[in-house]
Amino acid sequence: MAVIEFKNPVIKYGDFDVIESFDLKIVNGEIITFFGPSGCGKSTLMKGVLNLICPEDPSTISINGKPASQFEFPISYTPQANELLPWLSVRENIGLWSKDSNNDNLNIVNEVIELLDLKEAQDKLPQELSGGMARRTALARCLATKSSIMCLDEVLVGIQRSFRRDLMLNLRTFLKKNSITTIIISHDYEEAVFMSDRIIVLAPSPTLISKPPIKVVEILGENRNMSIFNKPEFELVAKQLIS
Amino acid sequence: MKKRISSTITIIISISIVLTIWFVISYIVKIRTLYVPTPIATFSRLIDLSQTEMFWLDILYSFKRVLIGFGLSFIVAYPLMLVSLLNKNVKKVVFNLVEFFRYLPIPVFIPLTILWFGIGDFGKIFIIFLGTFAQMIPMFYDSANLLNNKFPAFTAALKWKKTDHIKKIIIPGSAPLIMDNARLCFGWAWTYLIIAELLGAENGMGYAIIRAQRYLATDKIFAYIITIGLIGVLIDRSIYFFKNKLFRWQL
Repeated sequence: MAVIEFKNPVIKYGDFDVIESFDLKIVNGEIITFFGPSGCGKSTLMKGVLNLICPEDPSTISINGKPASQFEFPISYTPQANELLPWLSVRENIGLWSKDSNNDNLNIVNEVIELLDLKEAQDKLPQELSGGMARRTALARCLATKSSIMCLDEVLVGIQRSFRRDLMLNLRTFLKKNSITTIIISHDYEEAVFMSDRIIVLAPSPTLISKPPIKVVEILGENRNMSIFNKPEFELVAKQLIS
Repeated sequence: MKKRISSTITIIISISIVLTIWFVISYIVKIRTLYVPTPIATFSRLIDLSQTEMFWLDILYSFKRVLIGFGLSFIVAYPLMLVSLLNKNVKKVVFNLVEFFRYLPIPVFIPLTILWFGIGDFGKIFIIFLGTFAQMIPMFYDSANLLNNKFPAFTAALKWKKTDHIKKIIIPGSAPLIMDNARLCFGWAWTYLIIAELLGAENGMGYAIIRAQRYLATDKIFAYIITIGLIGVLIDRSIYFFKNKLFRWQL
């Protein structure tokens, strides 16, 4: 059964239809990327899942068979603006999003701090962080929430190139290990190809158009490692995406 | 460092302007010293006063009243502001009352408070309470409300309740703004206290001024006025200093 389902939702900004026809089922533990240029409706679709925007008919975006507006559990989310609380340290920001203040919480906070290489910055305030560090903190906070659904909006923007591939590998491993159903929004083909099981290419025209999904998992397989970047299959998917 | 030097220079310039005008009035225009005492006479009187027990007791009495009145006002205003954030109907009721009180000239209540409570402490505390709490609620509300639309990911994605949002975002996030508001309100509280003491008291700074007026001791009045101003500046700067120490972050 699909965890997240889009059944041709109609989403409007004022009188203007942004989304009209979009049909997609995302299964448990699947990583999906919405790929496309700015303004094509990627964020709108994600916001529909997060219930930040409601479609004309709420049941057209559903989670576990119920309208997204009725889904009562937290969804981990990395908003584009990070939204770190400026009065809390990096560690406190990460801990705030996770479920309880018990040992389990402490372990997950330590785990994501390690995973995202934030140990040295953990006592700093957000205003003392570089753009990349702030982005990693926002991602760490998202991972520490450990909910079954995760929405990552342009999560690797601002992160150093040298660190990105390691981060992608760690992130995908974490998501797969915890069977987290994930929606990623990206402009970056390398991120899209490496991270995804399926890529949904979107184009604005004047409302959203979805091309047939690229089934990355069928080409690159479930398990990924650093050598995959040099494989011809990776190039093949990337070329398909760029075209 | 540069900022500190420039700030010190501006303070010196401000004080110099006041002192120059005062010197001109008292030494060149030569208004009778009975009306306007010279700066030298005033400051020597201030030094004399500071060596008396009564002077410090007057400050202490005034300070105690203003702290209690301001504290009570804060204790009432802050939770009312939070409840107003939680419930729109409560907000309407609270703000209707507050708007009415906000435009009332508080000194007009002084004769009533003397009638109701006599010239003891309670009446003055009541005046301070009336004067500040109605100002505090809308000021606090506006500051807290700034945080209401920030960090939308929290409430939506994490399914936080409104109480969570208030506890985890609004209360800590608005604290520095609330402290700034409180700093302004404390200035008003101090002014209302002096007015209340001028019109009916047995001790305190306002009463000391009335006492001096009876004996035409204008130098003493000036000395007390300067003291009131200095205490006000000291309190204001202290709150500002602690705010900057407590809150290193900015929204």
